[in-house]
Amino acid sequence: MNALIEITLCALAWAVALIRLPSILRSKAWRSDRIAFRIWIAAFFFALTMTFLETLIGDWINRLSSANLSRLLAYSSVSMTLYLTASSFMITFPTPKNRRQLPYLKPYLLFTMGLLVILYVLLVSHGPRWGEMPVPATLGEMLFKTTLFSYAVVLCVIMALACYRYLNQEMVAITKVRIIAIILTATGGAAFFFTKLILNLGFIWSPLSSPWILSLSKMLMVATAILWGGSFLHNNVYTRVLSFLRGVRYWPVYRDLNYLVNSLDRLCPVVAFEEEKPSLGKFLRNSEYYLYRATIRIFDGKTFIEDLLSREKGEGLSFGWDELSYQEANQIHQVLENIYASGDFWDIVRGFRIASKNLSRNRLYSPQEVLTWRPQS
Amino acid sequence: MNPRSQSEKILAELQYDFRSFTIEDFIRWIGEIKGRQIFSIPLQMPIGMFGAWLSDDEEPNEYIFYRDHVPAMYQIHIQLHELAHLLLGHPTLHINRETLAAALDGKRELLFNVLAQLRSTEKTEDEKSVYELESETLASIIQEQIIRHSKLE
Repeated sequence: MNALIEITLCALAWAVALIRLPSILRSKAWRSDRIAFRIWIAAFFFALTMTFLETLIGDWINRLSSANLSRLLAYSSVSMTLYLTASSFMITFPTPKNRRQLPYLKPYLLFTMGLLVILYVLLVSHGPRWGEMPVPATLGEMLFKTTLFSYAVVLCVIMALACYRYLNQEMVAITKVRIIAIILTATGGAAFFFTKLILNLGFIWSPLSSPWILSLSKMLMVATAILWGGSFLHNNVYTRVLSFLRGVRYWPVYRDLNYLVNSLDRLCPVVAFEEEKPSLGKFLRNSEYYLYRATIRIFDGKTFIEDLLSREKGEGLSFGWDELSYQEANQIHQVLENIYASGDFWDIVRGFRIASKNLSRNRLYSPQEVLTWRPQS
Repeated sequence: MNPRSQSEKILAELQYDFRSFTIEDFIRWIGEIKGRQIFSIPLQMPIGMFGAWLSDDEEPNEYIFYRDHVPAMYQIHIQLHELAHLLLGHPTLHINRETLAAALDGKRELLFNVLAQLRSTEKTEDEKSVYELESETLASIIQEQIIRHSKLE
């Protein structure tokens, strides 16, 4: 890895850990919120991992101690990070299966760390300095990396499953999206470590270290890093993304309502203020607002038409309607009369949408339109 | 300040939790903030009239009238629109308890025509039109909050 990227990643990892430190200290999270504290410790161990993997610092540690000690420290730290994160999810999402699997995590961590220490003492500390090669140069390096990568794959899968099991129980939309982001990050992490494991086994069978697996591994690393960064984003960002996605879903509904709104605009006077039709971009930012405005405009028009039709026919005509407008108002009145407008907002929108579609299918044509109509070729 | 920003500022100042919105609770909340008792009264309205807000001359009371025999969601919107006038500090007509009692008994009419003149205008740049735009925007943004919360929860 290039020195600049190493330092940037290391700085980012420390930034994530240190930004949260003041609130952890202020709230005495080790007493008041143990999960938040656990997650912070995980972020701290991750920052340590990135520090030990930084080439200059790693070489300095190795010069002062013994060969490749920085790798033992980095791998132990990342094992701690994975354990703390996975156990936090299992405690936060206490499904029966998560509760059953949680007690096995600590023994598995101790086993992995013990194995790393044994392999280090027996093989890695006597071997040459590791280079940044995708395929290990020695048997010791291969065994050492296989131990960590297999542990990482298992822990990432456990994390993804722990969240997935809980997903359907979550009712708050933003939290649900956050959980999906964690599942994607953990799945991306599992896939990344799996490709690392395969490349590592290229030491035994060279076809496993093919260039496409190496490219895939790099892509997965970038994707996982982006998703990992995304899981730290503020709730407001998630709210905006959700709102945008809802806007995309509501746009066809709004378009369908427009026929009815336009008809009522032609027949009825403006109530309160004349509205401009939003562009797609404007609609996506505040889709609920514009859907609501369309609904209110329909209610305004519906009420006005009902008022007028309940009086003498002459009153409607004197208001400025011609015979066709009068018929159109009657048609709208009849269609809207059959719409159930007493449910919640979404029931009403659904009803008005059906009414609008029905009206556009059976619309009345003015004599001018009829006279100028030509068959389409 | 555009009507949307103005509405968002007013809503932020209200500090009302829209997750548990009911119109009765919202009216009570505003009444407490304004130090006024707000009465919301369903009424038959003339053509083109959907709601009205009148202020009590003698007591710390506000009266909101809204159309009866229209769907509940529309009634809520009309009440929110009238409350928005109050929240935005718009001018309105004043009545006293005696006039109100007589009107509710059907012995005399409320001054809806005068009120309509106070509010309605043909010119969009007119002050009266701005009042309507502001109130309608605030009422719609309140409902937007409620709809959004119901989707997020």
